[in-house]
Amino acid sequence: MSVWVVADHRKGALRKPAYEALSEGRRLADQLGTTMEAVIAGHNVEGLCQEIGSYGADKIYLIEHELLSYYNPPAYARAVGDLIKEKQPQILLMGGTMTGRDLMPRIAARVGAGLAPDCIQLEIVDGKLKALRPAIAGKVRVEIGFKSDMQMAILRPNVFEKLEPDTSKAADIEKITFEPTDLDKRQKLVDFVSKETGRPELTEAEIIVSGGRGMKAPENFTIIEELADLLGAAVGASRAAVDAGWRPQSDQVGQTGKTVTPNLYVAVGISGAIQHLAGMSSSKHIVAINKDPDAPIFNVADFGVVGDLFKVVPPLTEKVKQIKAQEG
Amino acid sequence: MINPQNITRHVYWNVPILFKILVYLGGLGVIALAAWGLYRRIQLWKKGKEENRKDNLKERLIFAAKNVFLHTRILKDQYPGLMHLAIFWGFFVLFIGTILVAIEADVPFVHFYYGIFYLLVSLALDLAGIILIIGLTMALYRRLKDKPERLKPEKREDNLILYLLLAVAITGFLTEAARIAAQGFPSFEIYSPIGFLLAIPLKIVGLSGRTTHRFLWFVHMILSFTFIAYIGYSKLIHILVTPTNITFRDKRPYGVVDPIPNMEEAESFGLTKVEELSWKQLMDLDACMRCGRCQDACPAYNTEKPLSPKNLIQDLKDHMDDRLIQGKNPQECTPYERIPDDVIWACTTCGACMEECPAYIEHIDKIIEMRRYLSLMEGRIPEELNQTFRNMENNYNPWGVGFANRADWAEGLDIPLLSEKGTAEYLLWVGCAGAYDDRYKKVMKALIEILKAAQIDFAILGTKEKCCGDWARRLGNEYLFWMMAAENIEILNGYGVKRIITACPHGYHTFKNEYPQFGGEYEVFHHTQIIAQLLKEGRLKLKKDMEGIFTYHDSCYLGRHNGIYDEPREILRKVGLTLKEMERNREKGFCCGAGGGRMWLEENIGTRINYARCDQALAVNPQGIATACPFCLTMFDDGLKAKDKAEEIQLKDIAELVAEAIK
Repeated sequence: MSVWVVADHRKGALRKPAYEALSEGRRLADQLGTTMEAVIAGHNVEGLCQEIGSYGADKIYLIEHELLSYYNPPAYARAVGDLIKEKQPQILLMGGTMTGRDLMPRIAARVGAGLAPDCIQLEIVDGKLKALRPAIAGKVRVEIGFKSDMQMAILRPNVFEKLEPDTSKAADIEKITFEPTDLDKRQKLVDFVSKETGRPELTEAEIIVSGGRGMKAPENFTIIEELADLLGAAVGASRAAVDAGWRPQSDQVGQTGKTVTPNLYVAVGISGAIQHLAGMSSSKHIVAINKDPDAPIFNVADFGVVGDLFKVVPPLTEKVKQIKAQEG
Repeated sequence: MINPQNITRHVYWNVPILFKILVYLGGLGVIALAAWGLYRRIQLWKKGKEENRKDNLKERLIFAAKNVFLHTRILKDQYPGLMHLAIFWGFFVLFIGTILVAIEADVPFVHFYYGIFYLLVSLALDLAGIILIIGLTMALYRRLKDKPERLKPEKREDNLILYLLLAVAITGFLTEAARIAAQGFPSFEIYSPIGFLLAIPLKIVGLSGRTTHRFLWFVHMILSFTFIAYIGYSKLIHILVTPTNITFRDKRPYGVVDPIPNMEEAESFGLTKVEELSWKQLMDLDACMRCGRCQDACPAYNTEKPLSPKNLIQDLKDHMDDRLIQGKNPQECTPYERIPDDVIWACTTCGACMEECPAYIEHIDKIIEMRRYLSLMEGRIPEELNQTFRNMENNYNPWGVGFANRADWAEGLDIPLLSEKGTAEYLLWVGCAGAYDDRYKKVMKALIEILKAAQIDFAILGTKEKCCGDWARRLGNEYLFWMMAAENIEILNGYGVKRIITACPHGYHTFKNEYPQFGGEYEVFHHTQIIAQLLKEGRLKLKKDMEGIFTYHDSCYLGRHNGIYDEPREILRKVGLTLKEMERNREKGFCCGAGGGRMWLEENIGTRINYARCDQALAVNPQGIATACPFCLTMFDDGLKAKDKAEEIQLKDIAELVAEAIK
């Protein structure tokens, strides 16, 4: 009887939703007066156990195998699923990353447990888990209770609080051996193609700097990239910039692109046609830089600069550099 | 003078009794064969759902007759139009001639085929034969030499039919010539000029005997019989099916779709099996002769999208045959194996195909049925639609701006709310674009100025207004459309609204033609109609004579779907602008690319339709482009910016131009 968390990681680091799941797992375990235990499956991930421990895991099950170096659905489902089946935790949590949303249903089917997806709040009521999730496009909230003994939940990213890590804590590590079957080997990683921008995903980013038609040419996006990298931000684009072939489709923010809700959205040379606003107007803070004072983007901006972006952005970047340097 | 009784020819002259028997038995046989072919197709259509297309039958028949005998629609494309007209009239007159001969020969005590009548009929039939041959030659030239793209892919029957008919016509003439030669060139036979002329070389080469005539007669008979039998099993069936199809055409505006019957209890939505189409929709599939006019007109096809309306109909027809003739079960044969999703989503529902189709096939209805299946049954929709649908569910507009902000644009403009005013002569339907899109808010403000200047008694719904649902319906999300329609109608009927003015052709079309399906009956006006009327009545005083050369882009939902072509043009001229038409205008207008819900979809394949349309507009070198639809305005705005022409070319809604002229 304990609370378990599957820790998702990528490129040698835990993912943000994993911290949130570990923190929530710890909270629930404390309420139930039981232990919080974590599972991590991968290849060369032992180094992450220290960090998992600092988020309050009492015990960590480490499954290491070359075949688990990337998310291989049948292998992961068997490796993690078999362990869960054997140990029978009371509650199993995972963050709602792509992996989480694929792996958890597989495990649920394997162990015959109920699964609540996309949860935004979890509680313990009479010793059982009760989950809350939005439905019908956010119009209503559904309370989910469980009939099964084991209760599984996927946590919506960016909703649950992340605890401050306590580096003095350390967890026991139990290594689990994983023997792949032929079925697990049917999938093979041929190549890993990523944009390798080193920038956060648009939809996960806390800060986004976006450029539009005002950028005039693809090479001018370097000034946006420079600012974005300083801020640790993702780079977005308006439909006009994507249509012009200056930016890849995956960068597009707006009606037919991605809907984003960062803490800070910097719109550079974007007039703010409603098609674009539809994708970003719920950002917490919006900064607009545009030479046209009548541009609709200023209607939604918290802070606007009317001026030539080529004269505004570079000094802004310089200033950020200075501040960063001062902060050390 | 010859006795008129002798100016004739004996039917079955020189025909042995055996051949004669063959004519009757064979004739009945091939007619039965053709009828069986037709009967099989009718049995297929009968497997479709019931649909009432039998109202006002007299008007329907007159309309079909006009199309058949005058070729009203076919002639809109000149070369193939004249070609078909020649074949049709040549064939038709010869057919009548054959009937007359049959009556003369077989109806007892009837005798009329002599004298002047005989001479006139002879002349008419010879002319008809020549006209038929001219038409067939034109057709063969087109297929063998000209090879227009739209006829591809060809089938073997295409040329075979032309050769067969040509052979029938030529052997007909030769038989006539052989008879005239064998009868010793009676002088009155000069009224069969072609036969007479051809008889001369026959005589010279010594083929003027009875045997030659007998042989040719026999060949002509066999060819004609082959032709008759073939009617039931080739595209020749259109001789019977197409007039029927025109008779039962949809008389409503092109874009109107029917609701899903009994939606709350229905277990499947849209086209899952071909027999879920109505009998008329199935007949459509057989009425298509693959002429490809639809394809030439289609904005999607013309911008390298995978959709060709012609191929879509043909693929559906092949599917119908698989399913209903081969008897494959629905699991192993679905329409979507032949028709990929990209084809279905490429349609802008602009109606250009339906405007062109000489058989009055209803393409849009079928595409909507398929989209309903993809949207409601499979959830197989373009990814970007998820958010747009969700926006609409939450905030009743596609952009997802808060519904409580719907009336923000009107602040400080002193626009009466219906909830405060109680009643008004007109309800001004602001629409999502007018309420939320900064660009279209300007149009809405211009329209308000116009209405106020003309002292029109109007009011708006404010935050009680919701999206009309047009685009959701065109994208197959009937459920979402139905929600919007039901909620809007409840509000409108609650206020007792009688007359609506809208600035959006999509709202116009939906209110006018589709809300009545759900109990919302209103008199609906597009702003161009109201403005044109006000100008005509002198209720708007033009204070400024505007100058400039403008081109006008027809919105499909205003023009083709609802026939409003003249009002916007009248207005442009009245305010003093010079109107320069694009090559494709009015009925032939080219969609901006945003109709059919495409406004909310990415356009990743081929050239962007709005870029293509912008090029067409720029080709006439205008100083400005006028539109009358928020979608068109957005698409042109994007297009002009992308082509770096936004600075030099004005882009205005008609209302903005008028508001300027009355200032």
